[in-house]
Amino acid sequence: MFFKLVEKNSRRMRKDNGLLFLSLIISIVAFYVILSLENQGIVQFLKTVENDAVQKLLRMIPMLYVFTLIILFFLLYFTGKYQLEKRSHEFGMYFMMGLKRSTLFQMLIAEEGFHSLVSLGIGIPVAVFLTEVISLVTVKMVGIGLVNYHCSFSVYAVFGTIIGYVLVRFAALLILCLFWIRKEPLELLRESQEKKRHNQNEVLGAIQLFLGVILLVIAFYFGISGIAWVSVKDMAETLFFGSVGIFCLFHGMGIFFELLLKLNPKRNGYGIFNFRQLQESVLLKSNSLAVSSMLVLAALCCFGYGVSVSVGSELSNSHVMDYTFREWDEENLSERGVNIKKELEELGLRNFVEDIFEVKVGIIWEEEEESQTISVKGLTDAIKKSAGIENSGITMEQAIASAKDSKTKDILRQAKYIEQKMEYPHVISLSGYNHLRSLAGKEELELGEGKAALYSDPELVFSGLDEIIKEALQQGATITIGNDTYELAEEYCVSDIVVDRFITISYAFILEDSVFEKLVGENYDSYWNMRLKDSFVEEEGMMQSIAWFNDVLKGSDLEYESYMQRIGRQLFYQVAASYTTIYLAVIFLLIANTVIGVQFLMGQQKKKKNYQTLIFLGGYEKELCKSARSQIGWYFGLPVAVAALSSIFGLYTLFAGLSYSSIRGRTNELVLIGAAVICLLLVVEFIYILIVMKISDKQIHKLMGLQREDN
Amino acid sequence: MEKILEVQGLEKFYGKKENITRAIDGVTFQVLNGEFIGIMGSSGSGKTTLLNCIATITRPTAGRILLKGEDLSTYKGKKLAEYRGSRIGYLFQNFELIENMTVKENILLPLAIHNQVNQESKKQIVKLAQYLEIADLMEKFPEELSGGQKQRVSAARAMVSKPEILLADEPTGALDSKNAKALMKKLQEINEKEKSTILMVTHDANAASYCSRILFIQDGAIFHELRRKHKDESKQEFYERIIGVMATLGGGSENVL
Repeated sequence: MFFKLVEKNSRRMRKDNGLLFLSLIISIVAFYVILSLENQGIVQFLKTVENDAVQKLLRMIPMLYVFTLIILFFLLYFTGKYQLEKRSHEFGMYFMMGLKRSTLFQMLIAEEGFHSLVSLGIGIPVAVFLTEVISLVTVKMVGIGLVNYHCSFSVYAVFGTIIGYVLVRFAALLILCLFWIRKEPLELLRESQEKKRHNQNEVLGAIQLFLGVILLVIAFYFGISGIAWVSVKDMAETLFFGSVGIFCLFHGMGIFFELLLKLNPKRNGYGIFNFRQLQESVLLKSNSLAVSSMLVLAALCCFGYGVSVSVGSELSNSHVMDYTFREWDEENLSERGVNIKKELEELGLRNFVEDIFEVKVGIIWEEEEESQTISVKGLTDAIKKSAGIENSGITMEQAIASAKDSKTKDILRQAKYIEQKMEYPHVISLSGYNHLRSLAGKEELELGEGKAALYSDPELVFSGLDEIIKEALQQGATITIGNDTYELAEEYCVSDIVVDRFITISYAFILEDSVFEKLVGENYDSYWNMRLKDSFVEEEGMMQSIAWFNDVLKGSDLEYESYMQRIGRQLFYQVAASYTTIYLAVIFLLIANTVIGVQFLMGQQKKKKNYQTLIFLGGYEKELCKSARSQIGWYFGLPVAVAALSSIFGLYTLFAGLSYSSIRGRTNELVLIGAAVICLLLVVEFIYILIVMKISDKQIHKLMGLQREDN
Repeated sequence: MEKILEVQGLEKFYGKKENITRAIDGVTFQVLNGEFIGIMGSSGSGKTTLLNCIATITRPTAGRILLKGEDLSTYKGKKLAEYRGSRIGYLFQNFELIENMTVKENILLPLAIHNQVNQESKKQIVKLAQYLEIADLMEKFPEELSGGQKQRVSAARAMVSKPEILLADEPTGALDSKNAKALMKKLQEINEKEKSTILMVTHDANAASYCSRILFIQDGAIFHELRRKHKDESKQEFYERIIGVMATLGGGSENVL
């Protein structure tokens, strides 16, 4: 009998709260996907090239999981509370009939267990299947090849998901039970009656609304101006202002409805009823609406940031070389590269090489002789002028002090950095650099005796300064080495000189080979870039051919880096950004929407008397459904609108503080991608709203069919 | 006098075959325009079911209900909603006011949902509010009102659309004797001055003594009818006759049974 009742109650709960049940299954799927990350093909591949970074990411996953479990707890606690409130009369009756508190507790635990079992029974198989599909698709997309592909099933993920999910469910239930089961039967029987509306103090409400807007504006300003990223304290302040602002906004929102009612003299239709219902819901549930709004905001930011970083990284990707070798043989300076070629020959790899060439990089050391004294004043003056500082006679410190805005200040600080850095500048030989350009399909750079070109590693280009430098170069800038003045080429050179990260130079000058030799002599570093034969790459596939080449090179003493490392890093960024942010976004969005949806639907069930009164007064089904739909639109619309507006600022903030080299300086472009993703999410939101509307229609239809009992 | 409501051979059964419950079993009566009619009976006698059938909240199993000659069973959709909202007024035992709406908004609700709020109706509200002594409460919420005030607001709501017949289901059921008396006096005044037709279900003999005619119902059927002898018969005399009928027929209250 006991188990029959448990099973029946559990089935009824699933039927009444289909939305919540579905959301829990999706959460289980998301938990499994993130916990089984280590077993997925793409991560297995990344482990071979970026093991340290992957290990760091994998160490982060459990923390991420625990964090999302806490968020899930929030959902289970709130929905559990509504469910218990709804069933409070039933519990009161059980007590009246002599049921012991401990038996009721056991019954609730058994119901929860049964419920968990059903959701896990559906969720885990779906998750395993979906993870396998994701793993296969990503592996195929990246082109790693399926030769070494392993099934991504993870026992650890299955147990992790089950333990976490069950733990959180029972924790939420236990906390609720502690409070609920102590109640007296009379209290429980009364509990089922409608909660009284809270009267809002109008002055307090207006202050809260005003304060909320002000605090949000401050938080937005801190975010987009970059102040939030200056220190932990500033970030904490920004988050504090933002969160308190959203709470104040929702607490004061009741006044907004009051104002709407006063401003709208139209008294016909369901308008007043709708606004009063909404006002009550928002007043009674302002905290959970504020939390939901913040969760939607977090979801939108995560999605917007994650997707645009992934897409953005891909945009910046260019492939010119496959390998760079480095040789440190100080004894035989003139025979650099010979060893590399010999070794490749011995390993039988020479036939796979299309091209191998040297790029020379040296440093001009300032010596006592005047001939080596370097001045970049011509360049920095041009930068100052381009940044809007007309008086070139002032020092860089004075220029920084006189700059009007913080962006110009930052740019000038970088210019000062160039000044300091250029005391001993790096120089690159033109021939090697031009070889790279011709491989990339670019025109060769022509310098000549009295000319040089400014070079920066693409990963170290400082946002905003590059435009100023380009402008300065176009207007004409010079450098002086000893007594010779070199005119800088109009083009700002920002192509990689090695395949990955053997050397990254913030600023250097490209010089004609003869000038390079004169200034550096034999003291330069030699980097040998290599490109594989196209026919070999086409036949084997890019990743497979490099992987095979790497295998052979493992047996040699050659020091090298490959395109695989570069693509590996890029992929790692994409995987880390997309998996973690999309996972978080799914969980946030799911939980926020379920809280809002379930809260509305349960509120509607609790307030069914109001709808019944309307039916008695002649309200008919179509109009009642329309009225409830309008309420749902507003109820979802308010937190989502606040979140959507805040997310634009949130995205700017994230790009201002969390952008790495390849996406730096492209904030506007990435924010646009992010905004497009947010719009897409809003479509998902719209679908969710439609589902809730459908359920509400059903509830009203059921109410229409209810008949009053004869008394 | 014109017949406003006719109930002909009304039946309402619940359940099937062996377990059938005959809540109303062949009730026939007529209500004249301007009449204040009471329906009395013990719990489970079928009086609220009868009222619900007239209010179209529940569909009868057999029989007809005619309002000014129109069969209610032919009303569907918008016409049905209009009937509930405009042609009848319903006064509930538990007031059924919407807690999050002000008194004024509650009273206006039946007009608002049928898009009938206009200047005239606003005047009508002021008149009703003054008459029912709730004019000072218009901007208050139901939780701020006493039981008596709530029921008067509920009465104003039921009458705002100037219904052809006012249906009252145990209107004094949730009130103390003082408030019950005040409400019944108001209903009687409305009936006499405005010539409003009122059909009230009650098991309270005191409340019933304000009516001009009483139908006694038992086990779903009318078993007795009591009329005020003449216009000048006092409330007390009529009350005593009601009690007499109830005692003679062995019912009317659970205590007696």
